[in-house]
Amino acid sequence: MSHWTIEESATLELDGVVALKATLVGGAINVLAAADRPTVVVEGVAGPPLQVDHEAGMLTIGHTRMLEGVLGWLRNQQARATVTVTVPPDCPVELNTISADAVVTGLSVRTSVRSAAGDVVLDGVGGRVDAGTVSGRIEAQGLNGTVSFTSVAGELTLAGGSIHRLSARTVSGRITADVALVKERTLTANTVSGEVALRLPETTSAEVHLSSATGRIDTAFPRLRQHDRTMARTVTGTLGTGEGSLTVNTVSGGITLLSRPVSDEERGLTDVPGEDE
Amino acid sequence: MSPVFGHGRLRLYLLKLLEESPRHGYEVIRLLQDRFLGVYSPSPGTIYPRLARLEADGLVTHEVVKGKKVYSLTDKGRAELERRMDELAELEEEISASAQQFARQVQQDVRETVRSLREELTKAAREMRRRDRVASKEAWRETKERQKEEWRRHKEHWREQRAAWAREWRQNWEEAWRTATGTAEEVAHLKLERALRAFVEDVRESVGRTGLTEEGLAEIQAALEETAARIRTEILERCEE
Repeated sequence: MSHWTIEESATLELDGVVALKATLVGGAINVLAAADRPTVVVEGVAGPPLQVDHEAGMLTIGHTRMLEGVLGWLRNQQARATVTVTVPPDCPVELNTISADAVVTGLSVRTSVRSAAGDVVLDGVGGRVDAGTVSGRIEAQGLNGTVSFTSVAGELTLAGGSIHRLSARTVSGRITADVALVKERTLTANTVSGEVALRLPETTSAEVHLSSATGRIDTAFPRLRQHDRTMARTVTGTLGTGEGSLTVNTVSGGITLLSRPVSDEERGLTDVPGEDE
Repeated sequence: MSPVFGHGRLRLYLLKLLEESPRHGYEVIRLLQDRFLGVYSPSPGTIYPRLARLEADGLVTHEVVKGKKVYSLTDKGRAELERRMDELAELEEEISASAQQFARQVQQDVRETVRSLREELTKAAREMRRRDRVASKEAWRETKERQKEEWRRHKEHWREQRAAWAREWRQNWEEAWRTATGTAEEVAHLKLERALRAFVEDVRESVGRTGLTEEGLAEIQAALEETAARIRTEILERCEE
């Protein structure tokens, strides 16, 4: 077991990390995948010193003790640090922050990020990805796997990626996604007042159900039909062979479903039936 | 990309990598890429000549394993590494800093992509909505045109009807007047007129009920001519006699 208390800045090299858990109040935390020896770089510690523990492959970083008393970290505005960690790509990572921004890139197994006001940036992350904020934005690119986004007021944006299952939920935040659905092909988005804008390849195959109580619904897929009822406006239909599922529910947020042409490479990869006839 | 390696530092870093364990050239390149998270990715054209130079200087040596050159550190190389330990520590620190720099780059990159995606989708949505609006306006205009046309036809129809009634009314009135005041012959003429009109209307109505083909029309024409001929030859000529 190794233990460090970092007051200002430090660089640590570790042997073997099998899991990372970091808890930060303010500042920034970056987690990068590298096949190298894991390293921890800490800078700009303000307020209480940062604790780093490495025990049986489990790397724990943070103002851990402060979280024991909720009031403790709320009272202390000055708990900040900038932490950059490199871990192997197959290392499960769990990050919790209050106002610190988080950047995660290249991990492939299990990533979970929770933040109150901090922004979350994910790049090329695979496996199971789970990000939640209260007011922070969640911005992602090139995700691959099962993704779950939750926010109260933060905006969720997902630019590109092959998604097995995406579940996005906000109260007032906007949801924007430009993805391709593969494998389980399931996309679910729920908001109260947040707008939902999705763009899918024109060859997407899914059962579609878009529903909004008062928001307007626009879709670029001609095979979908709109039904206006007294309580809600819905658009339903089947795209392609209907093997996936696309469900969007809002109360007052508008829903826009756009299509984009499929590039030749993508066509080769997804092998859509009935496309080349 | 910041030049992480200047002033013979790549050489130093290569010594460090080879001190960890003997490696072949490709492995060294891959390790450099990993360590610099893609920020610095050296080409074989950079690395192989450096390794050859190190070998020429006597700092490393190689043996061929399965057709690949595997490089390892010599005692002289180890001594050089020992001597430059401070410099190595400094370099490592900068490499860590470059990890942070890399994270910042990722953040910036994702933010830009995400922002442009949001703008693009918003624009596309607006464009689609505008098209929909134009389409629905056109559809509305079309139905309006159609309705107007319908109304015009209706009006025409009623105008014709009214005119027909007026004609009928006037004729009936004139007939009534004449039957009351005219001579016997005039009255007979009027009666003939009425019979002819009734005949015409009767035939028109029958045709209107059943429809009319080319053959039917020809037959009717023949029948009419025959009737007219019979009226002339059988009735009128006999009356004259």
